[in-house]
Amino acid sequence: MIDFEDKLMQLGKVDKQDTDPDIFLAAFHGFRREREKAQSRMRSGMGAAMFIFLLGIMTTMQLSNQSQDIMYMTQYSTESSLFDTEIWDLETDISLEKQLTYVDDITLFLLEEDDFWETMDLINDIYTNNETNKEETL
Amino acid sequence: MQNDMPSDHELIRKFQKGDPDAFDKIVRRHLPNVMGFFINITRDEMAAEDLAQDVFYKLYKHLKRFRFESAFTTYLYRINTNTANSWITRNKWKNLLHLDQAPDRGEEDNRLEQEWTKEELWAAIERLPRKQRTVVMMRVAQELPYREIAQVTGMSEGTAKVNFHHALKTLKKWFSND
Repeated sequence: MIDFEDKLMQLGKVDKQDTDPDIFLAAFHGFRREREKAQSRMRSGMGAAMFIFLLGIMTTMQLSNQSQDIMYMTQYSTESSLFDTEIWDLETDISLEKQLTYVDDITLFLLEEDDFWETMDLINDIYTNNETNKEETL
Repeated sequence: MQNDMPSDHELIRKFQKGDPDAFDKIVRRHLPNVMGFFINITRDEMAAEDLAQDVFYKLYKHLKRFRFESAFTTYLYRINTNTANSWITRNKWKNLLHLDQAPDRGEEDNRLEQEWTKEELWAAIERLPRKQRTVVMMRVAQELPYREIAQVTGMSEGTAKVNFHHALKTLKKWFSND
């Protein structure tokens, strides 16, 4: 066994190589720079992929929330209560509230046009009309 | 006469302080040994150079965090052995193919016969179990004492000796069968 060990040690001995260190170092630094570049490219690629992934997740989450809203609206839109037809009724169309909004708009428009006397006439007309209507209902 | 050559630790300290030439000096000092080791393992100069580059790249990256708790060579041998083991695992099938293609002993002259035997020895070492192979690589190629092998591998000195003994027995069996 000892003979075999000696033989093994002799055979396995490393013969020191006279590799040109300058050539090796030039190749090594080139290799190192390439590897560092590749690693930084990989790191930025991973960063971009992560960003896209997060953006995708956020978009998906937002879209899923939106679809819930749409569902919610659709659910309500099927119910008649959402668009009450009352607003289109002839009676409600000429309601006092509507009238007042209309009068307000016209008054403001006339005032902006510096037509003060026209405005006064309109207000008088409306007042007279309202009084007449009240009397009629009584 | 005083030795003016800076020690490995001094060079590492300089490198850690940002002197890139210090690293080149480390490479120049250890390159012949590292290349010799990988030529034994790979039996191919190009592959050996690639592995040596890999080793020095690992050193370049990790020496900045070297803590001077052990000798630099211990650290280097550990990287050498790990790199060699990875290469062997990667090329397992390829190496098995190499064994099948070993030249006929009778056709070689004396010098080539010796080369072929060396080649055959390293091919056989590659076939050993990882622990035994690691100990043999350190003991045979790097001529490390068991104490240092134990330090590098993290096993006890006794375990290192036992592994080497088992490896010797296996190798002897393989060679006597040939």
